Amino acid sequence: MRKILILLTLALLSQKAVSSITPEIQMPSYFNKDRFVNYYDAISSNSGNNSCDNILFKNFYPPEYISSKIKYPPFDTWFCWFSVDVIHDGYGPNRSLAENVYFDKKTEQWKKKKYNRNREEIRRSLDVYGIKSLSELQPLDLYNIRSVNARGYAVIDRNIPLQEKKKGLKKSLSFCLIRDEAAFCGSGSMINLVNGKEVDFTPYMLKSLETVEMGLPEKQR
Amino acid sequence: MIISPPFVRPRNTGENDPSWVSRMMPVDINRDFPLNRHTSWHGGVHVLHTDRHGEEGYDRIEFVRAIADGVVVSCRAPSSTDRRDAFPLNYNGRTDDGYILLKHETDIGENCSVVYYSLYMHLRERLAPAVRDGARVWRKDRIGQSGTVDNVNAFHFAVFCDNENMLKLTGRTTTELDITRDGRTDTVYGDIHFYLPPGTHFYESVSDAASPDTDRLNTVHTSTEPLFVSMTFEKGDCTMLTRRQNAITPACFDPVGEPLVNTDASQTDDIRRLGLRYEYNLYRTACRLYPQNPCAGFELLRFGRVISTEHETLTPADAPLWRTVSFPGGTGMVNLASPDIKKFSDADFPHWTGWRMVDDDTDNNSQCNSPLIAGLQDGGHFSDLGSRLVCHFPLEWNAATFDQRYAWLKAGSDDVPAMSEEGYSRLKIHASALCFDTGELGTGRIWHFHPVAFITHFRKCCWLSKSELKQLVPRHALRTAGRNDYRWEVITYRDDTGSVADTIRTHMNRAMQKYLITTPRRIACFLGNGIQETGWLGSMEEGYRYTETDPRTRQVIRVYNIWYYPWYGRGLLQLTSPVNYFDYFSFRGRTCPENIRNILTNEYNRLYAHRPLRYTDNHLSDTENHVPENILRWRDNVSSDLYEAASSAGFYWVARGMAPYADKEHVLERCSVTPRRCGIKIYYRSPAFWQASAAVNLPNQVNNEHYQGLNGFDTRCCVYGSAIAVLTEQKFPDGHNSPVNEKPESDQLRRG
Repeated sequence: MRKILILLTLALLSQKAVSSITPEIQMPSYFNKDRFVNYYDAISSNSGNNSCDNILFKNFYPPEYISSKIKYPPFDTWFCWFSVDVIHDGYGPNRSLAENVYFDKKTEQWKKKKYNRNREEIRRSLDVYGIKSLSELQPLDLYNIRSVNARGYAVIDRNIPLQEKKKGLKKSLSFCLIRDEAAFCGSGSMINLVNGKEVDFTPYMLKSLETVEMGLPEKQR
Repeated sequence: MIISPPFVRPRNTGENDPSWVSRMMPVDINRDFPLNRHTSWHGGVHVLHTDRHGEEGYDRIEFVRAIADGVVVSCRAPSSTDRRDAFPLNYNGRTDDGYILLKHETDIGENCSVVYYSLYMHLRERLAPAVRDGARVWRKDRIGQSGTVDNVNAFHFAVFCDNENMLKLTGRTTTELDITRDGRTDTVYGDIHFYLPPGTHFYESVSDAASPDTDRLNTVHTSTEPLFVSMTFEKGDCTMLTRRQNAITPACFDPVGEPLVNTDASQTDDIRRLGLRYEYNLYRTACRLYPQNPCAGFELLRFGRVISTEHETLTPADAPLWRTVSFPGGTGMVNLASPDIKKFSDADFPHWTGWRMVDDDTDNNSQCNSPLIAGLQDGGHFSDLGSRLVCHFPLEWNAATFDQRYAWLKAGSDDVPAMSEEGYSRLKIHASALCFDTGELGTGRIWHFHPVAFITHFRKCCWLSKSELKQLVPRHALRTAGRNDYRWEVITYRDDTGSVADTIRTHMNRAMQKYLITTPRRIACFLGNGIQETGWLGSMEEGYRYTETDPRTRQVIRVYNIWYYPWYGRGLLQLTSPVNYFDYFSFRGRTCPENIRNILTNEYNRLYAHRPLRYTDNHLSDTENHVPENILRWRDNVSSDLYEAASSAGFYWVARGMAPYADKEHVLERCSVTPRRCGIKIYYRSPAFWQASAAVNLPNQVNNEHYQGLNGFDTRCCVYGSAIAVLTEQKFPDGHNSPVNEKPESDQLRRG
């Protein structure tokens, strides 16, 4: 029994050790690693790919959320996609951005590269973002995430389409974490009003992604 | 039934549909419905209207439009201004005499074809050139110009029907709804209503929402009076409102407590991060609460009962519908599925929402002698409730019945002094100048609706008639044959009796009602995909067989099946791949061996991930996997049984969450292409339509609005454009991106 416990502890420690965010992120001084709620639910259902099964992660939240009854992570709809599609598409194909994010199979890292865009695509960029010049576009922030049992990317995008800008969106985070053939993907607004105060959830959500476990059995209710 | 007001100006930001309809039709309070100033019957309302030259959002001359597709029964070109300004037209003031009577034939439910009429009287100057007796007009067509009545800029607008159609439209001719049994099932739309008899128990909480057992529940209230609960689904939310009869005025029903919005939404069901939105998560709730047959459970959640009893069986039969409901003094949980609680919908015109049929004035004159209306007037509630009275009295435009209707004026009444012979004669000449050949409608009594109430009410119906559905199929399809290589192809649409398109229509309408595809934009997204996927509703099965030919000799090299055969697309939205079929079977309450499901799903996933293996190392076949006969039958039924074809599409809609995308603002983008051997052609897309389409077909591209890889998306957009034109009042952008066009360009509407 003792041996099993030691092995289990080692396994857990080793799992924890591999979790990482690259490049490292600066956590706010008031970040508390014990301030989280566990999120455990079925992601696979409704997405066309059922191999994500259930997802577990620590949903870290800012101090402004302490008094909230429901501590939602600020993501919109999320999906279970096929990893082959996520690797094929990356972040940004056919978009009006200056960059896209792709998977470098040699280094097994997600990387950024510049787009060459034609006149039509440039016109679309200006229309979509409501800008006068492409120089107004902000570079993407890319993070390679290694979670408990998945790997993938998180992209911080400050280029907000005009339509979304009107709804108050200022900064979005999109992510995909891959485990075998399944990819757990989502996106959401990172700057949100909590009790009238603008709160940036970015570091909390990046830290939360680091704790993702995929392919878990259904939770016993 | 698709219907709209006689003016269709743009909506204000955040304006809801009833407010918009009402704003389009400001009513002259002196010429209201159902009574005019002298408490005599008035079969319509006078819609006030003055052209507002040069104001933003207003046309220079704003034409009166047809409220629905129809046929001109009769019309009269307006007289000259000289005649308008002189007697007999000028009696109490200048009065235009142009009119158009339209007959509308449509469907509101299964085997429920209806006929109603709209009358536009006091039109000025000239009628639209296309308006002549027997001519076909289409909803939103400009038909004439609002004129003058008694010196007031307005036109008389009325909506009415005969007795037979009254029964079909409203389900009754009695004053109030029979609450001893459930409401109609041939059509169910709008809000769902529950009648809670006295003695209904309200419980503090329910620990197991799937169990009807009440033994261990704590009763917080037992009702002592009838209560009426309305359940509204709108844009993802669900609102529950309780009403009770007013103790002093029985015709009035007062709200009990505040409306409860999404009170029963569960975080457990919100796996898609849609928020605590009861309606958006209805599919997950059905799967959680009714795991033995979520499809039947979905009906329980949606309608409060199972409507499709021929196809769906609730399991267990006494499965509950626990909802939080307000009672006087608090809230509690009630099992609304209980047979003691009767279920209705807006299609039943519930009297607790104000609808009352007035048939108690049988004297055939124009004087209102209805005890019901007199009671409302005495109680001071007539102005509140008048618009939802549907009243049975003679048509006021038949010269031959003038004396029968107005002879009482010579004797006078409590409200009106006796009229002299000369005065009566002048009135008769004036009225006769405005009358027209009313045919059958002019004899006996007919049912009159308040036009604003009628239009507002039936905009919730959305059941598509054969003619309405046909118009959604564009005349041409744009096909992408290669990079920058487009073809503009004529669409042949077959909807003759017995055809797939004709037969599936009822199932499709039923599925749209069940799965809340009940707003014009939701329907545009649903059928924009479904009509294209099925080759203009021609086949419920994907063409899975392909032929490879030598490009030089054109000799056949091989004939082969698509790699995911036999799990190819079937049904109205083309259910595809083992996992989707098995999810659908589970939703329908069908149990499949877990090992078969896993083997097939894993094999599909393997082939999906490894493209080179799809045709060389494919193990999806039925024989190889020993797929049981019942599963094969269920799979085949998705295309061969049109109920299943529509039901599987509804499942796809809710399971993949298309509604949240369809509910977004539809910002139309005008797309211009030059197909081979054609001039420039135009089609329309919107981010909302892309996202709704991608949610089912390419979920990983939902947020990638300009992705080009979705099979036939340009063609889907052609259907979408027609649907937007036929179902909504949205205008299309022109080449300068100004929303000015009422119809899609490139002559796409299938009419005639």
